[in-house]
Amino acid sequence: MLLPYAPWLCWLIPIIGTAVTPLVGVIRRKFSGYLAVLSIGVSALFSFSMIPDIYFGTAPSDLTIPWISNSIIQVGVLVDSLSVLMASVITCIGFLVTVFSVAYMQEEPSLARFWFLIQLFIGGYVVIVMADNLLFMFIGWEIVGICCTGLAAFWYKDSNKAHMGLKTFLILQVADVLLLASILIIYAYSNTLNITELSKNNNWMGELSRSGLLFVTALMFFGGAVGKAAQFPLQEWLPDALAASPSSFNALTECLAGPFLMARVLPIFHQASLMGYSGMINFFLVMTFMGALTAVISALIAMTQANIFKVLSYGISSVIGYMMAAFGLAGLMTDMSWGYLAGTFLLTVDAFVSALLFLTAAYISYAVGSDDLHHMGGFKSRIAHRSMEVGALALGGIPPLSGFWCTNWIQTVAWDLAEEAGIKGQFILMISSYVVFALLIVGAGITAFYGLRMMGLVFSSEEKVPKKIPSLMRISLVATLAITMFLDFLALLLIPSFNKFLLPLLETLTFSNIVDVLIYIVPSISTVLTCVAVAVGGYPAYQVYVARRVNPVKLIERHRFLGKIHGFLWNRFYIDALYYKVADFFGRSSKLVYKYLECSIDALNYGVAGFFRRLSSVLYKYPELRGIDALNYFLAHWVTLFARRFRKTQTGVLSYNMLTAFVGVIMLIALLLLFGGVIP
Amino acid sequence: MILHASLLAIILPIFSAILIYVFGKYTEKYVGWIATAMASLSVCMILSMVTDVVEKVSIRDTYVWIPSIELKLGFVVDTVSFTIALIVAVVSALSCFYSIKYMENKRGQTGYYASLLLFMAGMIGVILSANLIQFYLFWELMLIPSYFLIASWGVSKKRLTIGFKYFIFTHIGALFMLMGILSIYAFTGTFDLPQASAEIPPTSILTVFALLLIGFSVKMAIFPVHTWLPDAHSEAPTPISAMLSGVMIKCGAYAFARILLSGFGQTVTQTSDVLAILGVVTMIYGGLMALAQTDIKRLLAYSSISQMGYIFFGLGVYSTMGATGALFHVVNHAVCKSLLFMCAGAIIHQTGTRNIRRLGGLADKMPITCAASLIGALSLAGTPPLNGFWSEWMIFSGGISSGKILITTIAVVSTAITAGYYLWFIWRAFFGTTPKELENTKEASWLMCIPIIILAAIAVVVGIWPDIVLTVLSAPF
Repeated sequence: MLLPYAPWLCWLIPIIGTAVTPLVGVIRRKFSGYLAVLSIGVSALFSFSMIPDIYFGTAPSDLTIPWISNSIIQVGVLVDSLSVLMASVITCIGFLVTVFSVAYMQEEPSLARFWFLIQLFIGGYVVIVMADNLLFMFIGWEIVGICCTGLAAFWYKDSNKAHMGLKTFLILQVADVLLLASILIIYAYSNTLNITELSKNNNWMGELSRSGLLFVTALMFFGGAVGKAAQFPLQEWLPDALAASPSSFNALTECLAGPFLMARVLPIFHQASLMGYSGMINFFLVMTFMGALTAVISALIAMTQANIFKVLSYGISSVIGYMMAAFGLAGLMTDMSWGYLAGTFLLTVDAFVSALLFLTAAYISYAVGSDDLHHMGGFKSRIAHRSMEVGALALGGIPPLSGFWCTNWIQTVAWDLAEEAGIKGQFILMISSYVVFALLIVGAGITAFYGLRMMGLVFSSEEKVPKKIPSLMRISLVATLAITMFLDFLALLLIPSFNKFLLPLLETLTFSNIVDVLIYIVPSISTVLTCVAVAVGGYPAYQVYVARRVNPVKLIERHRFLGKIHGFLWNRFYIDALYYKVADFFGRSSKLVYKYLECSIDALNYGVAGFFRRLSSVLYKYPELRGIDALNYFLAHWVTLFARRFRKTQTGVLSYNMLTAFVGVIMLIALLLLFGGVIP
Repeated sequence: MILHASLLAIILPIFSAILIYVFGKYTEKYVGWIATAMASLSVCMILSMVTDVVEKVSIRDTYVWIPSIELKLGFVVDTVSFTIALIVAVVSALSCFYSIKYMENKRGQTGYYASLLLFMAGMIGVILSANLIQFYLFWELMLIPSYFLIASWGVSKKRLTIGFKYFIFTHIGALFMLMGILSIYAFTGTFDLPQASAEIPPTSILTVFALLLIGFSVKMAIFPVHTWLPDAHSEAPTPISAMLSGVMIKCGAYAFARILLSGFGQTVTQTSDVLAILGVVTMIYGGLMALAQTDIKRLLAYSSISQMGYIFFGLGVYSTMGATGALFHVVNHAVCKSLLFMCAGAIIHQTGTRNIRRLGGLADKMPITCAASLIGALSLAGTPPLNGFWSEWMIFSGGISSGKILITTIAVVSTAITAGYYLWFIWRAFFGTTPKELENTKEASWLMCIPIIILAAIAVVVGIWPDIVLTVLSAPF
């Protein structure tokens, strides 16, 4: 079944397409779009072709070719259920988005740049999921980050949007250097970068743990995922980037690479946790809490935002919080398969739900010419409404759509973990699990609120004359809707097959049929509480935004306390402002260091030079001019003086000369007599 | 290979410099083209030796020089020196080509090109030298013409002061180095490149090491002896800045690798903590200083200091991976920094300002410059799959493998600063709204764009296929 070289070509084709795009763009502007449809479509075909092999267990597992000779650095692909699943999801959504974008972007003058970035993005994304070693994965990771930046700053003439690109890059870079540092440490301890080898041989984790670095390394690794996945506290880039970039791109949900990364390494980390290496339990606790906190915080912020893309990006950040919590819980449990399956299933389904929501938002904003929720009302389009309903209700956890099952599933895992910990007597773990459980339930309520609010505002009834929408956009949206509805409504039926598909990673079959799923998820305290939370969260939203019994603006004006909360949420917990303060601090401190340290070092240099110059002038004056040179003149002067006096004895008279010669001879004789010694 | 290729690679630029200057009257009109041709010929000479280097044969050409003191003129071409010499020659030739348009209407054309060629010859001579005294002579040979290039063709009125500062600083460094060289001669009785330090008594080895290290550090502009660099590199005409920042300061790194790593291995191991810390301090300090700049060329100059910190760190941790990575970074930084300087030159030439705050929205007016700047900046910020990523990866992985986990982690995290100031520069210069006075800006002339395109292409190709360099590059131990 496997098409030849499918594991390679599924990412190589988009990258080749990227390289060709500028040339094609020069020949004819529109061709670049068709090229992208072709390359991503073919890439999707190659990705799909690997699914049957995984299902029947006939796929080759790890293929590598050397990249840099005599070194560990290789290009390699890992063909396993997780990678094939994600590659298929990404290329499938990628294809739908590409078809959508061909119509959506048709009036854009710099089309080639757009398609260059989109294809590179998809190529890089597939590299992340297919890579068999951490370094190659990191390369895909960075490519995706760069493309996000490029697309956020796509309309670079707008200073604000260009600035969002810069911001995106910087926040992602902070996360990426953490990831890179942890990859380097892992490499130093394990001497390999290959994911399969890392999981087979886990001595390295023992050594890391003995040197006390395991917790920090794992945390830095997680830091990379936190950045890309827009988790608290690094979530601020996503809403701004998505609001600035061409809207159709948003449906590609780059932030899902974050939970994927954790899903990829979770089995390795879980092993370490099972072996009792110190630090691992704490790491998973941090991970779970961060996930649960993000689920609540992002959902809270999503309640107030006006820009539909910001609402959706906080929404996806919140959903990823659920995934991260699921993975964290999986790591804490003895059998990780419950949490792991829940996280990966949510990851798969949410990729489509988010794609649908983002495409719908792009569709509506194209029609009404605004991204603001309050301007979107009155757009009468059956497709848009159905898509919005399917997406928002799935997101909001309304049974029997997928969101309901997934959140419940994760909450049940948390509850189970609390019980497991209670039996083992680990009370801190037990309490933490209960807290996480409670946070996730609260998150479900808030999600229901913002989901309904978004829906209500989009469906409000003022009449508007929309722009004509190209049929290609409609076709693509309908296709996305169909796929999402299939996943959404049949979620329950799909879970056992999903489990079977992921079996090679898990080794235990958790859900062999639908009855298992029902027994696990439905009769739990979580179901009851989720329903209550959804009702509590959904009711006010329904009253205010759907039934429109209360005017929200007046409500805020009347209750000052509500107004304050609204302000706090509207300003996104002031995290963004804090980042600007930090950036400003760096800028300012660099200027201060420049002014004081750098300039004083320079002044010191000049000072030293000046000192020598002064020293030399002093030396020139005293020892040189007044000392040695003066001595010279002094000597010359005395010699001259002496000579002048002595000259007077030179009279030239013969008698004087004779007399002197005579005196000389007598003196010689006298000397000889005195010192001459005896003649032998 | 061509016979005497290594000698020819140095002699050709020297002779052509003399001829160009002597026959200045006749050559004035085409002097840029002639100089470029001669520089390219020198590139070809070095390139001709590639076959031997690939087979790991080290070429040693020796000529009788002063028989009475048994001094020979020697050149060594092996996996350490070949790539560095090649990149020096390539960057010099491209800068020469770039100058044709950039220096078009400046006075003293023949003197400029003659100095440039001498400067180039000095640098290649330093890299290929097989004995220390010859090394020192070429070291000074590269100083003198570069002093003239700054002092006579500098951009502002301060050029004489700055040129003087540059001269004094590097000359004092060179004197430290000379003392080191003479001490080695006193102990070993030979000027040959030291192979192992066994003959130097252990009591004085640290002193000799320190003398040489100070000499090289001044050239590499390691904190706190770096203050000459931002002045000199921003004052020089842009093609010369590209050579100074791109390749001249690398001579210090090369000397570190060639003399200290292979001759003083033990001492480097002993002091490697200090060296690594010095490297990281330079890295962070240079980056912070770059963040504070608004002048394009000063920003790039401070960035060079920061990047030399990476190289110093890679050499200082004393591991094969780190040293190979550092030498690879010498090549990559040479490509990217000269690329960035040329882009900055194109911006300055086309807009007439060097203040980043006065720029904006140039991306659609100067698309080639914009794309090339992005490539250069992202590469130096360590973004894969561009060339800078590989060398930074190797440097850091060398640091980790020699057990310096904390300091390497700090170094890795501090690369975010690099991303910060480069992206800020790109964002301010190329994105956003265009100021009114820059509305009519056009892309630079093709004569300036061609070297930019070549360098950008090298950055991308080496990034995707790093083996192209790494097969002919290895650590000196």
